[in-house]
Formats: sequence, structure tokens, C-alpha cells
Amino acid sequence: MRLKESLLSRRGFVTGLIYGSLAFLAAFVLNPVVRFLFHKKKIPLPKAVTIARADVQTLAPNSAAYFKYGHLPGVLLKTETGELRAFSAKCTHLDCTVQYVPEKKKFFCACHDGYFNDAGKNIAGPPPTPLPRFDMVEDGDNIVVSYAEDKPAAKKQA
Amino acid sequence: MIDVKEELGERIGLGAILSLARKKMVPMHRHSIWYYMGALLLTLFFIQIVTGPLLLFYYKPAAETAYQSVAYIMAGVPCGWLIRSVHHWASNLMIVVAFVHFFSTLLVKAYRRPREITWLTGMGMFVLVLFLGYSGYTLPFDERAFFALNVGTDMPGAIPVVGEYVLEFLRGGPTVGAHTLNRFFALHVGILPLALMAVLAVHVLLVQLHGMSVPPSVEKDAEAKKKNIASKPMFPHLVWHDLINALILLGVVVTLAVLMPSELGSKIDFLKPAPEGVKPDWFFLWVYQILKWMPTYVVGIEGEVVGIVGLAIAAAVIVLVPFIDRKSQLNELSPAFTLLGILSLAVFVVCTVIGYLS
Amino acid sequence: MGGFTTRTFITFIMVFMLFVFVLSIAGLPGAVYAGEEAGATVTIPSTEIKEDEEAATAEMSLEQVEESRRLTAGRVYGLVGLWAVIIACIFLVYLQGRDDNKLYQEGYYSGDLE
Repeated sequence: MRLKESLLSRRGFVTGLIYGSLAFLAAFVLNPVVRFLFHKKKIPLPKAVTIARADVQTLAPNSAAYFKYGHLPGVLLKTETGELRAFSAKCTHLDCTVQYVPEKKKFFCACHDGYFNDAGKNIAGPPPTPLPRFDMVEDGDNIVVSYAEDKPAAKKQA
Repeated sequence: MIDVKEELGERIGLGAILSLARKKMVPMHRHSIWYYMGALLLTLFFIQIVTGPLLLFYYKPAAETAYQSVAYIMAGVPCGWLIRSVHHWASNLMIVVAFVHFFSTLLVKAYRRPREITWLTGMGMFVLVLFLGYSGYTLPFDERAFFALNVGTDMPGAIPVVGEYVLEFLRGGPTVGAHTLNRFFALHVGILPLALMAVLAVHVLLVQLHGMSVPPSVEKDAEAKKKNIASKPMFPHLVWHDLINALILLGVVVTLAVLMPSELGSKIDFLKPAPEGVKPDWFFLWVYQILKWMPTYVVGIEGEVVGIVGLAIAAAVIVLVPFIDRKSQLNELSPAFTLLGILSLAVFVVCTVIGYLS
Repeated sequence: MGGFTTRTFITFIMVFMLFVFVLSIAGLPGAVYAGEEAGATVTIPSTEIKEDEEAATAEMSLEQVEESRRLTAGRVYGLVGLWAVIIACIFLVYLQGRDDNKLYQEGYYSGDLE
């Protein structure tokens, strides 16, 4: 069955083509702009970080000190028994830096009242996962702290 | 079915805008081609407003980091070289078209009554655009930028009485350094574009209010032949025409950007002497050449001061042309001022070429 | 006291009191932040063990910048493609313009908008 008249006028067709081709041009021009804007500069974390033994020895038992791991804040905990544990100090909820509260033997995140115990496990408040644990290896006068982002939390080492 | 145009139009007053727009007629005569320059400038300005903030995402405006950030934009960010080169070429073309627009309005006497304020706002924008171009190429803080900053801020120092204050204001201190870059960044990215947009709004409104000016020679011709000057409606004819111009201009800018991408000079070494043949950017070559020709002393005053003051006086004459050109105000032919316009154009072109070749 | 009436004075006092009230409220958020401050933090210095390649990618060299300026085949194709789209747009707009001209001559654009 043929229609007597086209449902789309010649003018309507050309107008549609114009807007379509202008949209195509816009997409053509926006492609480099979008690629430009969504570029991410990779800032890799260092493979490992060394901490001087001397600095660690000045730490009192049941206290913590911060150290830099590339762009990550790290926290080194010395328990009452003298055991050393290193964690990422970035709260797993929304990235605030946690603080060690010696009286409670817990890590506390002030942003949303999150708590981690002294093994890094999330015990109260919004944090969904434990604090990532750093591996520690002794190397003479230094302690080498390492963190592999893709590996799950490693066993603790003295 | 919802008629989007009608629904949206009711909410933003489209009907009122369109009925005003339909009344706009554009005269068509042998000098009509110059009417397109304004829309070309708007297209180029739009390109700058898009590419500028994009560059701002990666540019670090401190003396220690500016150079590296521009190098990173060129080599590290995908299409960074393209965005930067488009920004650079659009700025060059904007200055070219601004000169064309300026000289054409001067020669066709578009400044006569009642368009004096349109002329003055246009001259204001001209200065702003030149300053935007100058401040822009100082931002990479490479060797070339450093010398441009030194010489460019030194020249206003030659102005009698206020020169020293102007120099220290531009430099942020007695010498060019990190503080100078901060100032030029603030000027280029914030202050000058805002000022330009404010003046542009007034200029465009006035142009819509007064309509397009017809040169006195064309008016006299039409009177003599007892014919009306042909005119075309702005909507839809000339809107399509402006769109085509804008598309071609976009193509030209991108082509230039791809075939001749922007350069990055070497890092600044404060102790290095100025290299031989260091020259300002092309749009200031005419000033550079005229000052070069000035003798060391003229009647006991430093040649440079005479040159700058002389140029300032010439600029003042040009700015005040609507109020000086009596004949044009009366809609009569004004050959003296046509001659002045042609002379200015000739001086500009000749000095620029000599400055480039020497 | 023609211009400065009692009404003006009362308005002034009200505005002043509102101003003082707003200022005192503005200080309150400070109380929230200043409340539970974290105890003095101890920081231990740490040294990164960097790999050689990481050190090399720190800064962009002039050679890399020069290389980004080179004309590649991809860029030429992009340019040709851009012009193809632009010319297609211009052709279509020209067709529309010709049609609009005919309509204009028939008086389509001259009537009042409803």
C-alpha cells in the first residue's frame, strides 16, 4: 500500500539531517575534549618504604605514630607487649585519617565515629572493611614496610 | 504529542524574542561583507571560553610548576597538544579579526551617530583582547615568556609621572618574578575575561538596538539612484550564513592547530642574556618597530618616552574619531577621515611586516 | 528631626541586633570543630624505595613535548574527517537556506506569530 503523501516532508528531512550532522560534528569535536578531561595521572604507590629502627625505639608502648607511604598515610602501632603493627591510616569508610586512642586500645575515625581494634578490624560505626595491613620485614637498622594494593591483608610480622 | 518548542517557548518567552528577531533586517550592499566580522569574533571568543578552562584543569600557575604543567599538557594529557594549540591559534585569529573589524568599522564610518558608544565599547574590547593575547603567552613561563614580561612591563614604565606605579603594579614588584606570573594569571584567567564579557554584552545589545550601519557612500548612491538599499532578514537567512562562517572558522582553527601546534621554549634561566633578535608577538611588532626607529633623544626627552606618548596620542585620536569627524556625524562623505583610516592601516601593516622581517 | 524619625531609629536598632545575632551564630561552628581535637600526633620519617623507571617518568622533557607536536597519520585522518563533516553540514545548511528563501518570498516569515 503506497501512501499518497510522505509522512515526512522534504523540508523536515533536510532539517533532521542538519541537526543530525551538527550533532555528529559536536560529538567529533567533543571526543578530544572528553578524553582530555577524563585523563587520570597515575601516581603509583612505592613498592616499599623504610623506617629507621631508632625512630621506632623512641615510641612508647601502646602508642602509635604516623608515617608516609607515598601518598597514603600509614600508622605504626606499638602494642603494650612491644609488638609492631603497621596499617594504612585511611579509614575504609570515606578516607579520613584515623587516630589511635591508647585508653581504648582502638583506632578512632572522627569523621563518622568509626572504630577499629588494635588488629585493624572494623568493630563499630560505618567502616565496612578492616584497615589494610602493611607487611614489615627487618633489614638491619631499618624496618622495610611494604604494601601490595591487590593482595589481601597479609599475616602480621614482628 | 508534546510540542517541545511551544512548551519551552511559553516558559522562556520565546514568542516575544522571535517576534523581535524577525524584524531585524540586514542591508545588503558592496560593503556588507564586513558585517560578518562580529559573529566571527564571537565564534572565536566562544572557542576560547571552552578551551581556556579546559587548560585550567592541568595548568599549575606558580613559577616553579607552570613550565612543567604546560609540558605535561602537551605530552602527557591525551589531546592536550590539540586543546592548547586550538587555544593559541584561536587567540591569534581573534586578534587578526579584531584588527579587520576595527579597520573596517573605521573606514565605513560605522562610528557615526548614534553608534558612538558602540565604537567606544569596541575600542575597549580591542585593548582587552590585545592584553589577553599578551598575558596568555606569558603563562607557560618559558624563556620567551620571561623576555616578553620584562620588555612588556618595562614599556609602561616610560610613561611620564605614573609610569613607575604602572610598572610595579603589572610586575607585582620592581622586577619580574613569581609574583608577576601570579598577576598575569589572575588577569588572563579572571579579570580580563570578565571585563571583556561585560563590555561585550553592552556592545552586542547596542548593535541589536541600532541595527547595522550603512556607509555614507552607499547611502548617497542609493539616494542618487532613488532606489532603496536591498536588505535581507536576519532570521533565517543570515543566521544560516553566520553558522556556515562559524563552521568554516572552526575548521580553519583546528587545521592550523594540527599542522602548526604550539611551541614550548626552553626553561627560564634568570642569568641568561636576552637572545639576539628577541621580538614581541606579531600584534605588537608595529609598536616595537616604531619605537626602534625613535632616536635616542628627541629635544632632550628620551626617544622611547616620545614614541610611547606619541603612540598614545595617536590612539586617543582614533578612539575619539566619532567626536572629531564632523562630516560623518552629518552623514556626509568624509574623505579626510577615510584617508586617516587608510593611513593607519598602512602604517600598521608596513611596520608589522618590517618588524617581522628585520 | 525631619528625616531621622523614631521609625528609622527603631529599624536601625533592629538591624543592628540582627547583625550582632548573626555574628554570634557565625562563631558557633567553630565550637564544633574546636571540640574534640586529635591529640598531638607523632610522625616518623620514612624513605621511599623507588624503582628507576618511576624516577624517569617524573618530568616531561622537551623531547617529549617536541614529539607531541609531530604530525601523525591519525591526526591527518581526523582533520580530513572533520572537514568532511563540516562540508556536509554546510551543504545541508545551504539547501535549507535555499528553501527558506523560497518560503520567505511566499511570505511565510512575514506574518505575525500567533
